[in-house]
Amino acid sequence: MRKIPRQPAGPPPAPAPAEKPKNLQNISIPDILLPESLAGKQSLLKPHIENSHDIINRPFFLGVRPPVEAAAIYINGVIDIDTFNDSILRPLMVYAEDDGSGDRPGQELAEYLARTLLTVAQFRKIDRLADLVRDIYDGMLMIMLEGSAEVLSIDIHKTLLRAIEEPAAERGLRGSREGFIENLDVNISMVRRRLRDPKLVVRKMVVGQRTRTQVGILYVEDIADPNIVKDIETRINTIQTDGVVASGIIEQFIQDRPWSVFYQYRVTEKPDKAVMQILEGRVLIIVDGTPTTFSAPSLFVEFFQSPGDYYERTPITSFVRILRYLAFILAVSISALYVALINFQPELIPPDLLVPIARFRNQVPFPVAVEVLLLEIMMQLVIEAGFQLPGNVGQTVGVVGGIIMGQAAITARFASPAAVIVVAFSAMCTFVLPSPGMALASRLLRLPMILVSATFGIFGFFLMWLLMLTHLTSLTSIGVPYLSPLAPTRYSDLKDGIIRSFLTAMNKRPVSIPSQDKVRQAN
Amino acid sequence: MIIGTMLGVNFLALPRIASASSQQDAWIAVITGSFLPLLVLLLIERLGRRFPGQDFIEMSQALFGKVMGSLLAAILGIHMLCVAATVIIRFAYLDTVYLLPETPRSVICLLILLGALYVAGKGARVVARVNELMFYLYLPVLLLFALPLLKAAEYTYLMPVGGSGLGNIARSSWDACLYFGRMEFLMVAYFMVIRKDEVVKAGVSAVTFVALLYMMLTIACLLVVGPENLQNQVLPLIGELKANGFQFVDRTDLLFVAVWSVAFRPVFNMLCMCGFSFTRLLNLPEKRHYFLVLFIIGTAAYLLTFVPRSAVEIVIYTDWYGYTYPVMGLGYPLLYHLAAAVRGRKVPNV
Repeated sequence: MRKIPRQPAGPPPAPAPAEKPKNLQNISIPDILLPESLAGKQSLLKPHIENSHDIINRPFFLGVRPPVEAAAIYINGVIDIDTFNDSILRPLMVYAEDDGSGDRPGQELAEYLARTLLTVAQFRKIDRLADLVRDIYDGMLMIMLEGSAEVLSIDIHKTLLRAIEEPAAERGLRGSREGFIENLDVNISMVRRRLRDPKLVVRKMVVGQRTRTQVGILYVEDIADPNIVKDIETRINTIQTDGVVASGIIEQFIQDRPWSVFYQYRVTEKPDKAVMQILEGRVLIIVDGTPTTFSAPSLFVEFFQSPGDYYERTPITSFVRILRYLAFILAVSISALYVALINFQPELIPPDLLVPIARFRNQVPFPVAVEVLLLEIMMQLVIEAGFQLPGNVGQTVGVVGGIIMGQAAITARFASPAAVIVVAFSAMCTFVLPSPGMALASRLLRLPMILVSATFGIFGFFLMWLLMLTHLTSLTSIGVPYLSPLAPTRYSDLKDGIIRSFLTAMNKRPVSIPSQDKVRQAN
Repeated sequence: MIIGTMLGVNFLALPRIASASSQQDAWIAVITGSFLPLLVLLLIERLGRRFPGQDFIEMSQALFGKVMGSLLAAILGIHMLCVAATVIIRFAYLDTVYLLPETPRSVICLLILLGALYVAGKGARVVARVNELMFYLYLPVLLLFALPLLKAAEYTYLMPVGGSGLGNIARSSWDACLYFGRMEFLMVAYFMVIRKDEVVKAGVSAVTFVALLYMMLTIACLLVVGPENLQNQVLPLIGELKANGFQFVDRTDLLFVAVWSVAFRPVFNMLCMCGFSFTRLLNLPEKRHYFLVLFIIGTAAYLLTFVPRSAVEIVIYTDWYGYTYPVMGLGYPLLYHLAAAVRGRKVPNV
């Protein structure tokens, strides 16, 4: 017979997760103390689990003399059944006999068993009905004992994980190929492996009254601005929704300006990118069940940056970044500019180019604005179809839609070649942008730009740009000016803005992101 | 913000105005003309230092009493409203002539006003940042458009330096100083600045920058056609761009006007200051009523744009209104200083 030590070898493991926001606590479950009798506990619990046929109630006796009645309650398929059998049920039923557990009064029994017999990493004791019900539905294994008002809540989740792969939307030539997956703990560990700083803080919160989704907040304690951290925590805590199934939902709940087309937080599926964000004083937010994380606060310029920028040579990266900005400007502008120039100011087009454009335009029955708008909508539909369909089929639809329909439109005199080129080029520019959010924003912005340019020509075109820049200037991300370091101008941050300076020259963290520790590296 | 407020459309005519008396020495007149706004800046800054922690309305009421102070503040507010209206008219005129000849001027005025209200409605901080952003965007534009003029430059047009005589230069300086106008907005804006110790530095830099820019454009225009021919062009810079533009665009002048057509920073700067002045004057909570006040001011400014009915009237009325600048820009700070000196230490805190 195996000898069980009388005293625990070390301190008990830290109690399991989740700081509970008050607003989520016990909405329809009475927050009452549990009785000592097992039958009493089960009768209190029954109304909350009787309609959940996947919840198993496994009665057993503790192997002590006289035997103590007990029950294990768990959701089938959620806990690791091997661990349950080997590390919990077997010790309790078989080894407890020689342990002297039976001499202990009921109130101490649960604590004693957990410290001496259960070989599991995480447990906690609960004594309230609301906690009991919530922990069952959180996927914990509950051990209830006769004579003890305390119930052991044990975390032995069986986790079925997707393999760690490179995120399709953020492929790079150099750097890590790892991407986040749908499990919060694994994602946190991926950050931890890259950032082995004891000052890295990981806070967990629960959001969603029904989904009870875990949200992780990560930041470096002596870098991140405490006010920003507090602000983010407050915003997350005040979310009162029944369900959160993706990070995008949290993102929308805590953003400063919901009406804006611009994303106010930068999302990433790459842990290396996430770590760089944290090191600049940002707060990383990871939501369980989503591989997409986001960091706050975020700046407009970040949406034109990619982690690969820091792995490549400075002149190359700077050139690529300038191309991205150019692509954004063209993606938003070129269709509208074409409409404005053809409609109102053809004098601005060089005559050698204007003549062939006019010749083909003459054959198209629609006004130029209608022609471009129709093509634009067609192109947007092709793009959407490409996204919706799986892999190769999507690509085929793109090719068929883009090339064949474009060619057919010209042949049928539905559109002029110049208009097709302009619309296709603006679509191409969209795909140059490293951030899907900014690409989506540029797609949407094109339409009002075309409409206003069609009405007021080049004046309307520039007016729209003025309004857009004003809007960008007025945006904030967790209170931080979104357009910084451009407006307000932060000269030191321009080293990593439109161009990327030498890494050796970036000795300080961005001024635009409030932080406690300004120095990143020695001179 | 100072640069943005000074640079409207009027400066396009500056080379002609400045060279009317001083001929080839117009560029000297432009430089000397910048001393007046520097004086206004220093006067307002000194005034602000005397009333730390107070805004313009509070200062006015402290110096002149509740009724008179409010009246003076209201007059400045109305003046800023009129300035905004004149700039709208000027921009609309330019747009009508060059870009949208078929579109009614009232529609263009409305578009400019709506754009300006959108910016001004975002508040002083955003207005300041938009000015900052536009400064960096328009700086290369102005330099880029001035470059092609140099290919047709005839440097003898600047000779002999100082040949027009001190009297003529002084006369032109007075004309040129009106183009550095609208500094009176600082009477309101100064009190919104958080880092007041930087106001003088920033203000002097801004005036110097504008003076250098004006000088560069004046020299560019003088070099191309000479001071005498300059008098035949209403807007010399645009006229010369038409003749000596980029090779790949036939109408460089149109391109310049198109780019400059939304540079109506004086409009939203003035509307913003005016909006804050009246909100405070009426003792309304800013967060709730600022936009409403701004909307009313905008409507008033829009109605004012209907006053001049023809292009000639636009030029006459806006030029005439330009002469109020010495009164408002210089007279107001002097009046306040005088009142502060008379009342001495008896100025109560409001």
